[in-house]
Amino acid sequence: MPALVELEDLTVWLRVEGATRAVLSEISFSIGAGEAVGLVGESGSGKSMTMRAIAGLLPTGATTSGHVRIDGVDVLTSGERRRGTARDKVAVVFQDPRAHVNPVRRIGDFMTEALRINHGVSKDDARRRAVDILREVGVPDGARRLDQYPHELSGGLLQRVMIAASLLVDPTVLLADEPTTALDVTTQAEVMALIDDLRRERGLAMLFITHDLDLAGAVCDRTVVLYAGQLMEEQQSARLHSKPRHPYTAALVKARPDIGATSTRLAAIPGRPLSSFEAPHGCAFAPRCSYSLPACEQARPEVRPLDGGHVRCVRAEEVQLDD
Amino acid sequence: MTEPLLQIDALRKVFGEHAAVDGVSFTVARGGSLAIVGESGSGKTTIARMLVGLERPTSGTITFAGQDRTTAARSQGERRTRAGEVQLVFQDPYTSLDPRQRVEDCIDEALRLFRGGTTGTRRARLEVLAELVGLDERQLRAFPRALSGGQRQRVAIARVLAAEPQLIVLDEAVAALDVSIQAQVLNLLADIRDATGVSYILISHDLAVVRHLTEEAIVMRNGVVVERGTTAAILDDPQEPYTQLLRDSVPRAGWRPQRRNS
Repeated sequence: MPALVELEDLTVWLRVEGATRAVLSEISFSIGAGEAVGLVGESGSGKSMTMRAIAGLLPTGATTSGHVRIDGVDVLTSGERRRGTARDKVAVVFQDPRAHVNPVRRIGDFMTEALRINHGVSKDDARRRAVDILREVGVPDGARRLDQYPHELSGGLLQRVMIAASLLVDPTVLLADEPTTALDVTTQAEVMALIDDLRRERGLAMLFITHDLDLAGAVCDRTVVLYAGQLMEEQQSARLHSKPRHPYTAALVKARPDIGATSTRLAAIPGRPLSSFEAPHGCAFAPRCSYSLPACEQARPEVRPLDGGHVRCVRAEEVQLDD
Repeated sequence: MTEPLLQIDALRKVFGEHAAVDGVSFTVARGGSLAIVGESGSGKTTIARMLVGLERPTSGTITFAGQDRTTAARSQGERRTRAGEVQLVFQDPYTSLDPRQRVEDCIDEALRLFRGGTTGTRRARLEVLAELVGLDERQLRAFPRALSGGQRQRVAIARVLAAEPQLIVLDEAVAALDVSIQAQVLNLLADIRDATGVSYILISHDLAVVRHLTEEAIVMRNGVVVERGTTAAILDDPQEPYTQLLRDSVPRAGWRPQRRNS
């Protein structure tokens, strides 16, 4: 069976201060139906830009090369109509639900808008479907909620509404961009449980964007680690923690304080995360890497298969968590 | 027994009908560190605001180094003395620095305000502080917009240290930072404590960060303390159901989130 979402050598350029600069370089990975893939990286790593390229939300003036296929249709190159049909299958949930609803319109208006305007569903029918889907996401009193305004709902409840709204058009692909980062930790657990159930029950291909390697590891089958707009490692999530193959992934695992053990010093990564256009000519991580060789600064390593995943490092076999 | 640096007794703050903080008591020893753990609405930030004088308690007492801090300062001088003793580091280094002020002027302002001295002695002190938090000459001359989040938080910490406070309240001070930078700032905070003997109150929802930086902790919910003890005991063997729920909600290897209702 072909992957529902397929990225092949995706490169995105933006005009920044008069110069054209690559913000993503040759990103390749795929997501099958019912599969969850985590996309992990620090600020400026390109994780949101990757999501935007899939969803068709790239900033004006962005140019691309490579391929983004949704259910086999290349949404970067096909005509508007085929592209639109393919993207109808893609739902997006954002980090801050309050920034993505109109505060002066009722929940019902917001939820039923797409059905009524784009799909020609009658108002009563659209409301009925909204109530049904709210029940599915664990909001039992949907009819009452439809008449409320966003400010009357807590952050966790509003995020459930956003998830419900994204499911109304029966998507096959769910792009979730830090959907629980703005929530309390107990609310995060509930919303994550909901997202996890939905993607299994509905067989959604999910791209889950987060800065939290632990969270990605817990809820995603595979995880892609980005740094400076490049794919550094793609691996089974379970292995990523126990046996990371890229020095950057290993450094991230070690830099996090451990909730289970008191430590006096953390293994901090020197320097700061680079954005794509600041990255050096060779390996983007080389200036901060404890495994770096002179050769790493000369030429950028290719992405190569290893252990059923992929890694962009010449010394991947030597990477150890304990040193 | 030595006198605690900070003693909070039956502290209460009511907004309208709602008690945001409802009978909270704790102490912080000199050189000690306390975590206040809780979710939104637990009252943890209201406590921080009362500690630095941004809010007045409805009832209860705040005693700092044997001095009552419950009532408002009576003079400009007293207000400044108090402000110098307890300093606050905010969560978001993108909104807590003046965008029109160079880093060196920002730190120098705090030195002038709290410590005085000549231009020369202040400059010497500025260089010591910059060295301590890891800011170089170029960054000292920069405006905040040229700095990353981690660098900005170093500036905020240097400015706080300029006052030579005895207590620093860290309100989610590392929450907005990238993992690799967060580790650097946490190490820096540990180093500063070793070097200066300053006490910390860390307000955080992040239990792993709490474990790294504090010895004692209180867990708050809806304005009251539900559990207290050493940080290690609270995290390794939580007694209260709410603390257990918080602990279980932290993603980790093998974690499967469970839907509690529906």
